[in-house]
Amino acid sequence: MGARAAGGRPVRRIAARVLVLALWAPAAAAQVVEASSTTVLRLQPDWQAGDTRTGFWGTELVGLSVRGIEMNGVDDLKIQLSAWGQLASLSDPAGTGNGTTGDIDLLYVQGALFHRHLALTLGRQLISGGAARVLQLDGVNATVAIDKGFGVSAYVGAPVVSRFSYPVGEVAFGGRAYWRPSYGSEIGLSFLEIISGSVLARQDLGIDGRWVILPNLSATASGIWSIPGSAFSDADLSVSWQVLPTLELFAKAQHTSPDLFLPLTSIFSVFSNINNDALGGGAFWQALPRLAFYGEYQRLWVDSGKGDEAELRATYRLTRKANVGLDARFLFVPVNGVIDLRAWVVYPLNPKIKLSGDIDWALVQRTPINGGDDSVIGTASVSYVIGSGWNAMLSGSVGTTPFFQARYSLTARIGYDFPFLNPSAKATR
Amino acid sequence: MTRRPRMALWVLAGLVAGGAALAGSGSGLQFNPNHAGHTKAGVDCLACHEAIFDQTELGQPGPLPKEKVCLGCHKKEKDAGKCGMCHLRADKPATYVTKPPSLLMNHAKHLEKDEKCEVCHLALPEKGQLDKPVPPMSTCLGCHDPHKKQFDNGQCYACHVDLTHFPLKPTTAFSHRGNFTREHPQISRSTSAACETCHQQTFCADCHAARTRPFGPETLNPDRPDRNFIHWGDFITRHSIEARANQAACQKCHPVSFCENCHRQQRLTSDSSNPLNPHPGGWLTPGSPSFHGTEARKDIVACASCHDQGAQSNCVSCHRVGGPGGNPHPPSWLSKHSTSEIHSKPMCLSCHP
Repeated sequence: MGARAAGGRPVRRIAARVLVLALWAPAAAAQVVEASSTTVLRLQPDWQAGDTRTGFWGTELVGLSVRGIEMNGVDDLKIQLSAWGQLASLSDPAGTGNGTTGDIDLLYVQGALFHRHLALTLGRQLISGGAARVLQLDGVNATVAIDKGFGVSAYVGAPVVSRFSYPVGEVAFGGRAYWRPSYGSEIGLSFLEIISGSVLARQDLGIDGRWVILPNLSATASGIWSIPGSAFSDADLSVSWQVLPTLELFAKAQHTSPDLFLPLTSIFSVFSNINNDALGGGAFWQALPRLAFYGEYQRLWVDSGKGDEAELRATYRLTRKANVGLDARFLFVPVNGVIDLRAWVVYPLNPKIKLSGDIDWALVQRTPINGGDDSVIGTASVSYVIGSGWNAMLSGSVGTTPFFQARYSLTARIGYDFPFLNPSAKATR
Repeated sequence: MTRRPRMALWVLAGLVAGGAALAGSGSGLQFNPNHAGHTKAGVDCLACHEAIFDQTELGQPGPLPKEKVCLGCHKKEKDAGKCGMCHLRADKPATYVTKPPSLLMNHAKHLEKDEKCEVCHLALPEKGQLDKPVPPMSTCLGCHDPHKKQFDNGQCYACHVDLTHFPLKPTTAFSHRGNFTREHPQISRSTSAACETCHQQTFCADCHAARTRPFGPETLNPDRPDRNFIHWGDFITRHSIEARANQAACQKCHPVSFCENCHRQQRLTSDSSNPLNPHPGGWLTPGSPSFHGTEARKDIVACASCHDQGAQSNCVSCHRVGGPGGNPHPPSWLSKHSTSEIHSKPMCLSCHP
C-alpha cells in the first residue's frame, strides 16, 4: 500500500469506494461495530537546513473494528482498520514535496476455523513474537493450535515499505513453533527470512521462552541468531520476583549486535562486529496505597567502552484518576551523557474536564549538543469530554533547547467515537 | 532563554504545584460502606446483601442494599440529619455508581456451595480507598479445577467479558507495574498470544507502526504525561546519546534511512547539496584518535544512517579490492565467511569484481 496520496486521482477514489463497500457489507452483519475518528491539528517550528520555520500539520486518524461477524464454520471473525492522512505546510522529510501524505497502518481480516484450531489473519498486520520481533507485513499469517499446548504459526508476505522507502525487502516468510503449558508460560522456536531483490537480506533463528515458575516468580529469555552472521543479533534474560504484593524486584541482562540489525544488502553489514551488553536490575515498591517508587540501574558496555543508565521515579495518586510524578533518568555512554528530569501532574477537575502538565529538563553532560547543554520544555493540556462520543483536547508547550532558542507547539485534538451501529450488540466473547 | 518562555515555564510550574495542592481524595464511591465497622459489630454480610442469593449475573439489581435496609438500623441518625454518616457528600447525596459488568459470575451458584463471602472477598471497599478491591484471580483458580484449566488454556472469556473493553491490570504473572513500556518487548516475544487477550493489534500499532506513521504516541497524547512514552520531552537533543547507548533499539522501529532522510534535510550528510561536515578533524588520518575506521568499528550504524546508498556508498571507492582504503572487514570476518560467497552475493561484487 504505502499510499502517499497525490490527491484526487480517479483510481485512488475508486479504490477508496471499493474499500468502503467491502468494509460496509460485513459491518452490516456484525454484532459489534466500532469506529473512531481523531483529528489532530498541530502548529510548531521545524528546523530545516539551518532555518526555523513554523509548520502546520493536520492529521486525521480513523479506526474501524468490525467484530462478531456471523459466518458458518468461522469463529471470532473480525475486520480491523487503522489509517491516517496528513496535510502539512512543510514538506515531508521523505521529500514528497507537497506535504500531503497518508497510509494504512493496519487492515486485516481475522478468523478462526475448525473449532479455533486454525487462526488466519489476512492483510496488513503486525507479526509479533520470536524472530519476527514486530514485523509490519502485507500478507497472511496462520496459527495452528495442535494439542496439549503445542502449536505452530507461519506467515508470508511483503514487509511494509517504510515511509522513507527503505528497501527492507520484497518477501518475508517465517514461522514459530511453540509449547504453551500454561497461560503465562511458553517456549518457542522461530525462523525469519527476508529476501530483497532476490538476495538474502535477513535470515534469523530465534529461541524464546517465558516461564512462570511460581505465581510471583517468572523468568523470560530469548535469543535471535543471525545465520549469515553466525552470531546472536539480540539476546536477553530477565527474572522478575514479586517478593511482596507491594514489592517487585527484577534483574536483567541484554546483548545486542547492532551491525546484525542492518540488512545483509547493506554494504555496512560487512565492516564491523559490534557487541553491546547491559546488565542490571531494579525494583518497584508500592510504599503506600497512593505512593509508588520505581528504580532501575544498568551497567552498559557500548562503543568499546562502559556506560551507566539509571532511572528513579516516584508517583503519587491524588485520586483514582489524578496523579503527580517525578522521574529522573541518567544515561552515560563513553562519548556523552544526559540527565533528564521530569515532573508531571494529571488532575481531572470533574468527570468531563482534565488538566495535565509536565516539565522536562535535560542536561547534557560532557559534549554540548549543537552548542547547547540543556533544554527545558513545559507542556500544559486541557481535555474535555464533550459527550455523545465527542472529546476534545488543547495542549501547548514552550521551552528552549539546543536547537531552538524558543520552542513552542500548539496541539488541538478532536475525537469522535461513533456509536455502536447495532445498539443491541453484545460484547464479543 | 527569552523572557516569554521562562514566564510560561513558571506558570506551568505553578500549575503542577497547584494541581498537587488542590487535589483531594476520593474513589468514586458515593457511600462510606464502613465494612470494617459492620464486621466488628458482628453484622453478617447477607443481612445487607441478601439479594445476592438470587444474583445469577453481575449487574442484576438488588444486592446493593436500598436505603430502607440501612434505615433498619440507622433511622435515628437519618432523622438527626447525619447524612454524612453514610453519604460521602452529605450536601449532595447520590446513589450507587453502576458500571457495566466485566465478569461472568454467578453468585447464586457460588453461594449454594458455600455462604462464606470472605473465601473470595479477601478485602472490602472502605472510605478513602482509591480502588474497589476485587477478589484476586488466585481465589478463582484456587478453588475450581475448571477455572484453572480454562486459565491454562487461555480461555479468558469463560469468565471475563471482552478484555479489550474491560481490561484488568495484572498484578502478578504479567505485572505491568514499574516501567512496562520498556520491559514488554522481551515478554511479548514469547507470550504475544497472552497480550492479545487484552490488546488488539491497533493498540500495538499506536507505537509499532513507525514505518508508516510520521508521528509518535506522544504527539497524539500530550495530555498523558504520566505515560512512559519513549520519545517524551526534548528527544531530539537526547537522541544521539540514546542511540549510542542502544543502537539496535532505534533500528527495531526505524530503518537507517529514517536517520539519513532527516539528516539530509538538515544538510548533515554527504548526500545533501551543501553538506555541513559533522566529522571531527583527523577523520581521514590513520592513527588519529578520531580516525573513521576506528569509529566505524564502534558504531557502524551511525555511518550507515547517512552513507548507506547501497553499492554507491562512498566507502566502496576507497575500500574496494586494490583501493587505497585496504581491507575493511573485521578481524573475525574470514572465520565466518568463505571466499566462495563473493560470487553468490551481489553486495560482495561491489568491491570484489
